[in-house]
Amino acid sequence: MATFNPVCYKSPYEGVGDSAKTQLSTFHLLESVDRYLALSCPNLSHADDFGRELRTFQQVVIVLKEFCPFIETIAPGVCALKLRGPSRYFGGEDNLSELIHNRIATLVNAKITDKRLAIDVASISPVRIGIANGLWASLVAINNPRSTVLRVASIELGNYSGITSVVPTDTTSDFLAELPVSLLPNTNIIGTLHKLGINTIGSFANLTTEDVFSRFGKQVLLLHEMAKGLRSEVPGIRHYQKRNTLPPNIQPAKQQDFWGGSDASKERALGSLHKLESILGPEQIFIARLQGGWAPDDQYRFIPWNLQRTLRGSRGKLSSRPVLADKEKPWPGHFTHPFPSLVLVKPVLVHLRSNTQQAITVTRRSMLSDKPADISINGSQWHKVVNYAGPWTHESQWWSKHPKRQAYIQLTASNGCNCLLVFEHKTWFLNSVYD
Amino acid sequence: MTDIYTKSQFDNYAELHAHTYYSFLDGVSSPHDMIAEASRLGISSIAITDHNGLYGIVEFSTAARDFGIQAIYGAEISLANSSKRTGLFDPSGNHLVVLAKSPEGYKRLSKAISNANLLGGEKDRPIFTLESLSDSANGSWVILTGCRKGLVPATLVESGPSPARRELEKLIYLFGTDNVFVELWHHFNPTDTYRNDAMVELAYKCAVDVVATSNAHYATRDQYQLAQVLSAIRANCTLEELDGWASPSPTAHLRSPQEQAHIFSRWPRALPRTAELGIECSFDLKLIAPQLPRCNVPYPHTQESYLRELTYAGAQYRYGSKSNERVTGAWKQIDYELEIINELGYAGYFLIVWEIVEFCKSQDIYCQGRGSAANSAVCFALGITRADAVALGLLFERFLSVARDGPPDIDLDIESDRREEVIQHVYSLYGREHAGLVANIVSYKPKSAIRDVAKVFGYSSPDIERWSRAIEHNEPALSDRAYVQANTSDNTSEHTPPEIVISFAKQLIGIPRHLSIHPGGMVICDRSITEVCPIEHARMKDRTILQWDKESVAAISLVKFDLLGLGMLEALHRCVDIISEKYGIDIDLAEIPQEDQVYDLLCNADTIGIFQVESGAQMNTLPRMKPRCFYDLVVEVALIRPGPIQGQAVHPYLRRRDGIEEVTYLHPLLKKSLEKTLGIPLFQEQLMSIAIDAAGFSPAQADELRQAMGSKRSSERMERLKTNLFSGLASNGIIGKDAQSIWDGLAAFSSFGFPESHSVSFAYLVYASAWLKLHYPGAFYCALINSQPMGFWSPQSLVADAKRHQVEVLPPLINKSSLMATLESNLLEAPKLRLGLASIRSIGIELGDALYRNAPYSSIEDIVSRVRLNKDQLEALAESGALVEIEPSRRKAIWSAEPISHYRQDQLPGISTIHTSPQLPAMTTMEKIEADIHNLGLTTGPSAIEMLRPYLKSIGALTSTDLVHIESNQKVLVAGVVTHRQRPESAKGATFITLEDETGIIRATCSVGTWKRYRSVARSHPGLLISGRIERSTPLAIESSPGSLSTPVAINIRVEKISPIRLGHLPSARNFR
Repeated sequence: MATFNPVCYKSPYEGVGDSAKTQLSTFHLLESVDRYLALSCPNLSHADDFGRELRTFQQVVIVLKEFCPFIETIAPGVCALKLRGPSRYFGGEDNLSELIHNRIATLVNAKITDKRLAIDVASISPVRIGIANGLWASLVAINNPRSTVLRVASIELGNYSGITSVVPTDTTSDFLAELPVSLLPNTNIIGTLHKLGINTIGSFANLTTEDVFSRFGKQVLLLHEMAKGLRSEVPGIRHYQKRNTLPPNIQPAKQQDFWGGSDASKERALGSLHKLESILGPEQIFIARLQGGWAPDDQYRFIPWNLQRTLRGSRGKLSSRPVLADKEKPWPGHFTHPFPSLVLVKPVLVHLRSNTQQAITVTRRSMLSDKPADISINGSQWHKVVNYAGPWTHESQWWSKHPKRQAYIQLTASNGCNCLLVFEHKTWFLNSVYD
Repeated sequence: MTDIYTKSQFDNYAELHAHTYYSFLDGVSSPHDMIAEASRLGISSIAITDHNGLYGIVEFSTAARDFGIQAIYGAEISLANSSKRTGLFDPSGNHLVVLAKSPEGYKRLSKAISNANLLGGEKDRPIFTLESLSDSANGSWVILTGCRKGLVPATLVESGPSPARRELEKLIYLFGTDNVFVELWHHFNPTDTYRNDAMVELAYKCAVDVVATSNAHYATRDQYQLAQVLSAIRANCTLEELDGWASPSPTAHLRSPQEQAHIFSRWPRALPRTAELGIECSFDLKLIAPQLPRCNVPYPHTQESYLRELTYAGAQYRYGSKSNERVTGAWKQIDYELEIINELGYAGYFLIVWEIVEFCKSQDIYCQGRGSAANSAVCFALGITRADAVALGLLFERFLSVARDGPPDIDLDIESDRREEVIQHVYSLYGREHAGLVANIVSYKPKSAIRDVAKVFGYSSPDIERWSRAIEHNEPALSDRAYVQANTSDNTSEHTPPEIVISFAKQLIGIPRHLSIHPGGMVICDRSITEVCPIEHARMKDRTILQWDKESVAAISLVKFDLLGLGMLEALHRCVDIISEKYGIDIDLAEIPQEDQVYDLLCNADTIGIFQVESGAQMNTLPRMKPRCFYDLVVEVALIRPGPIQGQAVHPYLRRRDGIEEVTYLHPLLKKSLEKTLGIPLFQEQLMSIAIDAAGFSPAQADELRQAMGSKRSSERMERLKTNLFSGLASNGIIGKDAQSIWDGLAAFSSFGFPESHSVSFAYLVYASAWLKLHYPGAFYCALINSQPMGFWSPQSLVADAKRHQVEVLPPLINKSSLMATLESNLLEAPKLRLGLASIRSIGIELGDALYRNAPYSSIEDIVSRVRLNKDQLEALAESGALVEIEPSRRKAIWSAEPISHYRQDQLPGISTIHTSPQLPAMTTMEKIEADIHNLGLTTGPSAIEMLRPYLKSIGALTSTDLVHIESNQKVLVAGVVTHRQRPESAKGATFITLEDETGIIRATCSVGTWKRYRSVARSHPGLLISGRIERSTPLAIESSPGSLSTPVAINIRVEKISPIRLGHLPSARNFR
């Protein structure tokens, strides 16, 4: 399984004290470095478009799962797998990467689009694959295809273009040696390394362990090992798992805190959900969660079950990740008791008119154009308006792609219907019904 | 869509709760816009209730008068406000709306706010308690229960009606039943009606009245989104994060009486009572400025007689005795001036300034009066100014006249680093309640607006940095153009913020962000200033400021003293001190002789570091101007300014000076006034004397004319003066076209004229600094470097210029350097300047001083064992090369920095074994340059351009000195580090790029088209290769003719092509300042 084993995070130097030197000399490497295949879709690395890129990338991950059940997502548009099993099964690394390219090319050229999910398979291309000893080296190989050590192959199939950069098994440290230290995933020491005239990963790797320890401290030893090609990775190269609360040795899909516990029945429930998802496809299962909000229909949210564990904190623009609104915030002026007993998911059209049969509207200054006299729900007959309250207006999320500009009124009709109407896009809708 | 609620006519309505943008990020509209909207809506009176202050009062009352609306004065007070208002989603503390019922109430409110601020002891942390407010009120205030955060409504929502009633009863107990009102507001939220119902019930139970407000934070509905942006800025979060903290209803705007009548129809008693209360709180606020304090004068003197005595004593010294005066008419002028000063009652004013100047003298602080005060012989006699107004024939009425609006203006320039001593002296002499610095309201400009808006929209800091850098101008007036530029000239979206950011940034421009300190203005009063304007703490320790800016202060005629910091005075003082200390020569700058060599230096534009004439434009003009006497400097200072350049006065003047153009006058009567500037009007005094000579104006009338023309405010007064002028001209036989062209000339010139007296004051500093540069270059550069930041040129350029003047500049060394730069040579040696330890990155004054006092050191451990340094500081020392005496390899020293910084003071030196470093490559020269610049901001060794010279030579690039021998219109290639990029208003869009190479300065001018083509390169690269054509002020042929080899020449390159040179880390240029 590709997920990181937490044991590796622990420094072998834990507890190194005054007698550092003696301990250092008895130190042995604990990790064997696996071979990795990393795959990146540069076009899908921003994930800022309401999850569109994320969902598109999900299609790539599904394809990869045909080759290996354990795919680890590293960053938006980047994932990786351990090569050992798949490469043996699919006839070697080169064959495997070619098969992967071919398979994704088929997906791309099929031009499948799903408007509802806003998946755009064309944006998957180009695809870059990097193969090397260690996860980090494979990621570096993706982005530095010009290195002389690399074996590079590119592929063009219709609208698809792919490239594979392979670092041969014994040459990972040579490959890394000529690269600049600025690629190291620890930005704190890069400046100092430059000051010291240590400008390549190779010259950093050439420092003795004792020197690295005494100058940079024990935290940097892991990085040093990685630079020497003796370690698969160091913490900090996964872009968003850092902020994820998942325990590291549990597959993301089995997220425990979702159900708030981990007893057997919940495990079983989760299992069923997984089965269901495999039948319906990703993001077809939604769950309702309560959240903070101003209007009744803001105070809950359907979350795609498998999206709630993905992307957090995308780069740049406001992210549209499905994060629940905070219930602890004051939400000034929000709807309180009594709550409607039925909130309509699909709003129903309502007509509201005045005594003079004029359609009622809400002005920009939040006032009703006139007193509502009659109501007709969904084109049915007119009923007298017995009483009403409001309007209550809000304009929120105006900075996002889904601005809300709504006015609500509570209304009792002569047929005894107690309801909440919402005025949106110059139209009245039935929003919810009270008991 | 028409509102049915505006159809019927309704009675008057008073808006009792409204915030302007002086609620600092909690209000959107200016006082003027608030009043204008209120007027449009038919509101008869409106209150200003900004948070904890009366910042907008003057603007508000002026606007209210203009619109014929009754202003009500108040504030929303934050109680128990333990934390600041900014940086938090929902600042803690309850609110209370206070309205003044009478002038007495206003006075008490202002005092209460001041006291709370003084008690809080720091900026933005007033401490108000209900009890102290009750004492302050003394029945002269109206108290409203306030908004969502008001004491009563907040308790109601959190704890229910009974605790809320207790809070209301407490308010009644403290402020009186008649003075407490329950406030209803309705922002179209579902809870508003419930709350209002409950509040009405509370009011009924406690037998107090109910009023309705709109609790407005913006004038119009359209400003809702901007209000949210401001809230997010205040909370320092994104809009997304703000969601849930701020009200999402776009309803906190002003409402018409009709709308309010409808909204509050459920509570019918509220509105009539609101209107009544509005009338009760209406009064005409005459903010009466306190007088100046009376100076303590020795018995039996009066202010007037004491001033006369001091002036006479000074005059005796400066002009000689009355019977034997050195300057004809001096004593007569002094008596005349004293007469006017006494007539206008300003004797005390002069005594106050005199006292400050005397204080400076006693403390050996350089100070000098600037501006129009230098027109006064009294100021000269008192030692306030250095310009002999009588000898120079300066017009006193420009400074003070019977017809003048308000008090005169005496501005004092004080050496920058000692200005604080003078300010504290004024505080301690007059008391904190009687003196205060004038506030400066910092408003949004394009750059800050883009930055803050992009932040609340959630953009990342690299994006924000890029976008704000892309804005080339920071002038509010240029905002639109700046945006257009940001949008169009760089086609890459990388440099262009998204549309939504631009649109909100535009709306933000001009909105106050916070209060800071005006650079010099200080108000001194005879009674407590807090009766008129609240005071508060500034960010800086021991400083209290008024809540008003200089416009507000001026509007109520508070007398302001400008105590300005001037970097050049500091540098001159340091220079004189260095010369005295190092060479044992005492220099009195007032006595330095006029010398030809000094003018030679100025003619050659060798003016880097010299006051006022070191800018690109000045350096370009000096060789054409060829100043040969002191008065030429006075003209030069006034000439090269945006006004005369735009008014096209420069070229005619220079042509006339060169004898190419004939000196003519519109009329012979103008000759007397304009002779000294060759017929080209430059000074405001000339405008006045033209009116006196040609139209028979009195000096006082002439000053009135100058003021009227300058301000262009009162057209009525202007018409009257115009009629007077024309009839005056006619009586001298000037009529018709001639009269009209004199008028037109005066009007055109009035906008850019400059007081001659001010020019004179500055010209003294020009000459003094040039004289010191010529005679004591070592001390001069040393003083300039120690007075940074100041002036036009960066420290790197100063060092390079020093080297060109045979001053050796040495890098800081731990065992040789002092805290600041020092002169290591004596009078007989070539000057040698050693940079100080404080110049090293992250060291600073305090640590630098500790390092200096503990020197010398034998090893790096030795340093650490005696001075506490962290790793960064040690690394900076190592990287800068300051440790090469004790560790020759900079890289080894950098390596040692980390282990040694953990080294304990109790360890013995030499015991540590852990810092033996591995083999590290030695620094190349380029790497050394880079390390120097990174850590010192400059390099003392060869420059990067010098290192590149062989290459540059191979591609045919010339040096700055080579250019002297190139004829006009020749094509050249040059290379250098960019020191400045400028686009002055007067240049009609052209961009000036200043390059520096190892031999000097190269000036290049880029047309709009060329800049557009090469913009991304020209703007972002520190080093540029420029090709273009030479423009010379003097043709080469003349210059190279025998005997005239030293003819000064100004050289400029008309840019045709720009490309980058990659130089690594270079000092950054000063762009578009």
